[in-house]
Amino acid sequence: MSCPMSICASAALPAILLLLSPLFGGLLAGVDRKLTARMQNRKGPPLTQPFWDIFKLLGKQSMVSNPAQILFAIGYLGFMILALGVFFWGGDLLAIVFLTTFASVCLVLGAFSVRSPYAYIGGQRELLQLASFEPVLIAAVAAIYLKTNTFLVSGIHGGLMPYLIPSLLALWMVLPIKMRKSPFDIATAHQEVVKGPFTEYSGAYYAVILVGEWLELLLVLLIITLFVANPWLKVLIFVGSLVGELLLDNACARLNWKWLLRYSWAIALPMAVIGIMVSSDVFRALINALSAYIYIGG
Amino acid sequence: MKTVIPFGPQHPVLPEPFHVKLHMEGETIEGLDLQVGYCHRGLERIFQTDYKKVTFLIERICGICSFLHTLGYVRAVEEIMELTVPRRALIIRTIMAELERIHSHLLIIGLYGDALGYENYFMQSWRDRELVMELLEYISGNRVNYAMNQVGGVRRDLDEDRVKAAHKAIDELEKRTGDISKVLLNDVSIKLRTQGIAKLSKEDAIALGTVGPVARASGVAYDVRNTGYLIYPELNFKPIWETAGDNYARMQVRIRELFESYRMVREALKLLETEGSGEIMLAIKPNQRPNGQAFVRTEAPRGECFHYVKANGTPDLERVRVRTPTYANIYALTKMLPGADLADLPVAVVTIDPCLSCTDR
Amino acid sequence: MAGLNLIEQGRLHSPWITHFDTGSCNGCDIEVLACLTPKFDVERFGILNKGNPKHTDVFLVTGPVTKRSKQRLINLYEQAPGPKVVIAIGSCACSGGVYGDCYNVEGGIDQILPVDVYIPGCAAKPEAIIDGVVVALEKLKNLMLEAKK
Repeated sequence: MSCPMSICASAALPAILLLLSPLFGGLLAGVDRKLTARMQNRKGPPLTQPFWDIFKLLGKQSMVSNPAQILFAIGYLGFMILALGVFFWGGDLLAIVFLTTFASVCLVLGAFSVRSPYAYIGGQRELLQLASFEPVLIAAVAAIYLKTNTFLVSGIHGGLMPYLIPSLLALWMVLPIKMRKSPFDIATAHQEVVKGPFTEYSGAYYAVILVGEWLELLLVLLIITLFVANPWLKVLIFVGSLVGELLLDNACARLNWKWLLRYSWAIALPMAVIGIMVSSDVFRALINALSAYIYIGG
Repeated sequence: MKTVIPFGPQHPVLPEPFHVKLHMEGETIEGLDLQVGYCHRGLERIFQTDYKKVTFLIERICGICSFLHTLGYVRAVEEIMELTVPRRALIIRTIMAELERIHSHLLIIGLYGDALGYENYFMQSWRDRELVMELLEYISGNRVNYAMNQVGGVRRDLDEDRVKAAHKAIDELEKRTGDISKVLLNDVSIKLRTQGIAKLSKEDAIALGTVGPVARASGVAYDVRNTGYLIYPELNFKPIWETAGDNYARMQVRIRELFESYRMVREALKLLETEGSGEIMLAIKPNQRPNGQAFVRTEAPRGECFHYVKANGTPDLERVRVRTPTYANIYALTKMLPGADLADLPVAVVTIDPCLSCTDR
Repeated sequence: MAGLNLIEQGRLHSPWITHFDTGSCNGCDIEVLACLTPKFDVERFGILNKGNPKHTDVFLVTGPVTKRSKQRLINLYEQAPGPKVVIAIGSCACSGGVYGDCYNVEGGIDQILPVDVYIPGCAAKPEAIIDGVVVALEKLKNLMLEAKK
């Protein structure tokens, strides 16, 4: 029954998966660019293009405006690797969430450490994106805990559907924010803030950040696959989320930060809270008692 | 937190270099300082040369509205020399002017999508723009800087094959523009980003002297084609205008002008077919030289453009002065932007359709 | 490609561009943007329009360098990390073009920066621009192979 996507308890497999994850992340980024190009009536780059980008960047003269940037770039990649490692070893979902938060904070600090107006605004926008995505993720993880009584990835063996459909919908709603796609690619808005928090990185340090981005994409899609148990359904939901996201990216313009906050706090977060309520045993017991009361009383 | 952000001259969204210093409070723009002049080459000085050569020099003031500059210039010189241009040449000039308007509006619609973060829209509309670029290359030999005009007429004729190709291209373009205009005018995310943003009131539009789609979107129904030059009176031309004055209205005006241009090119092509063959260029004797001054107005894709030519009977011209539409429109940014977000700046800049090479010359 | 390590091959497969207009009529700039669109699609070669001088390998420069743009051009060139290539697009960038006699122009990019490839034309067609970028990559490849000997 072992499938690469399901979490095995053996020690060798997680290590192999972690080592292969940059390769898989890069291929995923390549598929992203190729599919986007096809949707725009173009041919697009080859699937291995992201790897050529990394090789080229490693050979560039690395200029930084402030040496602290190097620390924050390595911090970003380091925390993402740790988060993925915890996932593959079947560890604590809350730990994974907090490690990704630390990674994003490293990115923001790196942006603030330079005296560049574009990096500064990009850092502010990245903080807003963090504040929009993380609450929904934490609420989804809480809903999973209430249903399965465990935070451990290795302890989740299905049974989440159909109770956790609201949580899954909420996660899908905030996925564009994490994947940096329209309508919510606000921090790295190419036409407004050049490259946002990444503006002042170049050479090998930019390569480090790119690999971190690939791992972030991989991790968030893997967390979404936790909601179903069947291995084929996991693959379907993984691929389907990616393709759906690209379709949305190519079908709408970018909104601004006010709409980002309105959307995630007024629509996605309540949906995630509904997910908590629906998955909680206490809540369901309350509903049963209420309906029994109404049935007997009426 | 008050910051000052430098925007341009090199920026991914700007097709032309100009510099804006933005005084920001957080992400809201409080004021801006414009600085133009990066494209000032000093062209008006080199126009003081043989009047026949200036036609090809003046084309290169701007690569997007190149035909308009030659049109204004040759009309001014023809007015000084009191020449009557053959009718066939007038029809061909109208067709080229409208084709240039089509390519320019499709260009700015694509850049508008790009400024909004909608890269797919940019790709699709420039893919459609290639149809009109291929047509222009078929007719004139070049995609940009067509060299069709000369004092006394046009230099190339449209034979049967070219007229057929033009009909086919216009029909295909009208269908495709129907599709992309539906997205521009009805898409929820675009409407949320552009309706009510960067408003220019009618009083400000008149006080600042704005022209073209910028003025027409604020309720000032002024279009120089209404004064009846070339063959516009026969094509039933009416100005197109809106009243809202925001980013959305400015693009709405351009979309409606696109459809109007398709109609006019079709009718002009039919007029060309019924005219049959004819002269396209007057023969001018070598000792016939301009002596006097003239002032003409033309409607460029971006608005009203003035050309003033002064000659004194010698082979070289004495003075050529051009006042381009973006020269009048660009200051409107200082009235539109305060109060808007940083995210709305690229969109507002694209909707006034800045042509800095025209402004600076 | 024999004789080149992965990093050097990466430079040939992933040239990121930045485009700067130093005062041209904008015809060549529009043709550069047209190269990114579906009919010509340079992303097939790995070319991305980055717009950020710190992320760029290839500078596509147009225009005859007006006096006001001169310092900006030098700033942008110095901000870009090496190795980098400068391509002059259009007759104005190559030698001043029709504006060569104007009082406010320097007369071509090579008066200011070292130019690697010249693409003539007024305006240079997208096919010519793509050809010019390919020639620049060939030149880069030959330089890297020479350096190995």
